[in-house]
Amino acid sequence: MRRKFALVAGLTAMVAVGGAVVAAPASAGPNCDSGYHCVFYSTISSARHQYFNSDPNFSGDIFGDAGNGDGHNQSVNNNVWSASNSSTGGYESHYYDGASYSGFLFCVNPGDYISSTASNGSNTSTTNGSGLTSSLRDRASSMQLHGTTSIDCW
Amino acid sequence: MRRRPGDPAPAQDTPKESVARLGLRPPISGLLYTWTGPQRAIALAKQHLTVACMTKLGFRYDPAPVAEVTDGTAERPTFFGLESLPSPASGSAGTLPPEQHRSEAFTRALYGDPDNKISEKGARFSVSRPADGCQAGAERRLLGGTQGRLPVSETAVATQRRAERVPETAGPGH
Repeated sequence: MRRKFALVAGLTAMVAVGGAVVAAPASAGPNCDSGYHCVFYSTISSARHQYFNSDPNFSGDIFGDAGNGDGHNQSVNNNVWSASNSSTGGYESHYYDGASYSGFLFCVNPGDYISSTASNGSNTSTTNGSGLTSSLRDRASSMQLHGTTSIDCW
Repeated sequence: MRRRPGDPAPAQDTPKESVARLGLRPPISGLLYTWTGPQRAIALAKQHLTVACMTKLGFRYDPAPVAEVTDGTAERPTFFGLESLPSPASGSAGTLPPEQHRSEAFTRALYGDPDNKISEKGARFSVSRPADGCQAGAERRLLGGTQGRLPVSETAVATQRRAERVPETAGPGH
C-alpha cells in the first residue's frame, strides 16, 4: 500500500496512515542562524547556504557551509532539497522555479523546516525517501520573503 | 452551429489562451489560495497574540504585515501542465522591511526550545515546526494545536505522486 503523508491536527491528536508524529531528537535542529532562510543540498544536516534577504537569482550561489560535507561547494541553483526558515520578523520564505521570482514552487513558514529523509543526496531510491517530490526538488532558482500570505506553507 | 460557405473560420484558442480565459488557473486554485476575511482575521489574531507574548517576555517583536484579502490574484502554485502560465503578481513583497539579526534569547522566546519540535514524517520528507514558544502558543490558543495546515500541500503532493510514472532521478550535482 502506498504510504501517504500524514498531518497532525494538534499536539495530542494524530491522523496518520503510515506516518507518525515524533519528538525530534536533540541533534535535529533547524541548522539555520537567527534571521536567515536556509537551503540545503540534501538533508537538513548537509551543506547549506543562508539568505538574509530575498534573492532573485541563485546562480553563482554555492552551498558554502559544509555541514556534514554532503554537497559542500556545489551550486545552489536548481539543487535544493531541504529548506529552513529562522525568520525573526514573521516572514514566510517563498521559493520559485525561475529567476526573478517566477513560477512559485513552495514556501516555508517562520520557524519551520522541511528536510529530505535521505541521508545521501545521491540516493535515488523511491522507497527510502529521496527528498522533496520530483516536481519540487532541484528546481528552486530564487527566493522571496513575504509576510503571512493565504498560501498554506510548510 | 454549421458554418455556411464563405463564413470566416471561428477563432481557435490555443491551449494557453483557453486556460487564460478560465482565469489562468483551474477554478479550484482560487478556492484553495484566496483568503476570506475571517481567515485573515485569524492570521492577524495569531500575530497579535505572538507580539503580546513576546512583549511579556521583554522582547519587541514587529512581524511583517499580513497579506490583504485579494480578488484571487494572489500568488498560487502552478501545478504541472500549466507551468508556462505567467505568475500572478507577488504583491507588496518588495516593500517589506528586511530581516534583523536577533539574540538567541529572542529566538527561543519566539520559537521555543530548538530541540523540541513537532515533526510530521512522510515517505519522502519531514516537516518540523516549533512545539513551544510564543508563536506555537498563539497557534494553540487560536487553532487548538500546532498550525497543522497542510491539506492543500498534502493534496498537491498526493496529486503529484499519482501522476509520477517514471523513476525519480537526481538533479544536477546529485
